[in-house]
Amino acid sequence: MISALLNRRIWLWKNRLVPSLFLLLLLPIITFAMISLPFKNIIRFSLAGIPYDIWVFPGILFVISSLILFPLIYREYFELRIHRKVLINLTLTPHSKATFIFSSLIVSILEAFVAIIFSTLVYTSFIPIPINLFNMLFLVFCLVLYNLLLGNLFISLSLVIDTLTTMLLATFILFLIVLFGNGFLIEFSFFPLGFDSLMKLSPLAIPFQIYQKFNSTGIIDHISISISIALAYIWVLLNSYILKIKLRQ
Amino acid sequence: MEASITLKKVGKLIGDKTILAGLSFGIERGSLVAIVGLNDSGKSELLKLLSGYENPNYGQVFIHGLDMNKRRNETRKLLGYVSFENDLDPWLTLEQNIRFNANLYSVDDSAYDKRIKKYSEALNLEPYLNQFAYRVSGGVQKKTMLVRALIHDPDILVIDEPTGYMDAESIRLTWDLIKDLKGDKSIIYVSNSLNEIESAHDRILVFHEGRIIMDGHLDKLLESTLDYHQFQIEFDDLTDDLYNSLKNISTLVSPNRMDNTFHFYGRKRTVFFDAIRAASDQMMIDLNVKKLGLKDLLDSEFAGRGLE
Repeated sequence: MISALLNRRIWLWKNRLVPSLFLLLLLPIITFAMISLPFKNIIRFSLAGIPYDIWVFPGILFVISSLILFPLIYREYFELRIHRKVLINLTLTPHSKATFIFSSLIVSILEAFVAIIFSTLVYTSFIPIPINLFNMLFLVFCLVLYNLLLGNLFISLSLVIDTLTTMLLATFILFLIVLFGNGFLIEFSFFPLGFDSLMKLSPLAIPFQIYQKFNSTGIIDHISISISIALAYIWVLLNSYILKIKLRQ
Repeated sequence: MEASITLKKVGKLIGDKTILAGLSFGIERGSLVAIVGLNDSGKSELLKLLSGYENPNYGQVFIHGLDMNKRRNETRKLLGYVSFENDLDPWLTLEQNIRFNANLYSVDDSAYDKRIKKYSEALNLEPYLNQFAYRVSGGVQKKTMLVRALIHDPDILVIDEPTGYMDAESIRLTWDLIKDLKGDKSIIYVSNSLNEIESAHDRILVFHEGRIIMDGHLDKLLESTLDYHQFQIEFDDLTDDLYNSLKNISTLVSPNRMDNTFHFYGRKRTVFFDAIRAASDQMMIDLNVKKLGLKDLLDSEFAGRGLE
């Protein structure tokens, strides 16, 4: 099923090549210009003393992958569902709903990674990032964990909500949380005491904390990784159940 | 003959409303079965249950003897479903839409090439295959959906309005293909086009309020009406007095009016002369007599009167 969904994404890319490429180019440039450039004049160094534009690089990648993931999932599970297109036909094929949800997540993550690779090239052409290969591989692993969790959250929202206005409002709220509530751009310690501890418990914030812990101490937090994987797995099953209920199947 | 689809006491509720009420029937392999009935009588809902699009609230659906609920993946390979509404991906070409389905069913390239050539030629779809789904007409979209449903070579084809949105040429090509597939595949469809059903001339299920009220071959369904004819007299001015006097003629069955035209059924042609005699001093513009067809049968049935 993954290859079928992947082929469809490639066809959709080909069919809208110019606008797709334009947006892919624009996204990292805008993100760099709107986040990294002004924030480094406000927060010059992280609490550990790392220059902000270097410290924020992994966070920017997390933000970009979130921005890429959303329209893919929105289209598949909200737009095509409320317009009664494709989705129902997909669920009539000999694949379980859990397989479909997991496969569409994998395909969306692969597409997000294309954008991440491209963004890394753009970002590093402006600012040299001192990151070694093993560190980069662990960052990719944490990004996969994060995308699995965020993708599942997007899918839940797209399936539960049936009207465009509610969907837009929910998306705006979610993007505020994604941008500022996960420690990607602003460290948790900048938030009021107590509130930061609460935010650290957010499932979406866990993968970035795993990466930061590894980056600063070299320790791999196996417990948090296991919790994230288990949560993503349970969420896929939950979403397949929601899909079943929504389609009355 | 071996059953292709079997329903056992299948029921569907939406909220408190019963859409389908304890349906039990079987469909033989290779047969062409039409479902007819009033709007909102549960026809499309039945197709959704047969295709796996929705699940029944109670009862079981068997496809080639396999319980659809328990053997989901196996039964889905056996089914092809064409919904009433266009559900193609608007930003893919028609060919990409079809190929996407072929990929989902793991159809190999040679089988895919053979089938798309065969079916797109049969439906004259080839000139449109590279166009985006949102750019083509509803009829072309419907034909694409039919090819898409056939691309994995299912044993059972479930179609909601096979010729919806189509022009006369496309209707002819679609029926030629469906008749060609009959025998090899079991085909069950819903249609409001009674003329098409009459010309397809196979088993017909008449649906009313979630139940089957008639089931059989067209000839069998019309058996009870074989002696009957439908008569029509158009008057220059069909007054209420004239209508009431005609309506009271005892040999006339199910009399009714539409503007200045008086309709009725009769077992013998001589009944016509009873009506003519009663209205001999009135100006008549047109007279018409015809044998009953499926439409007349359904009109009569749903009017709640019946012919007998």
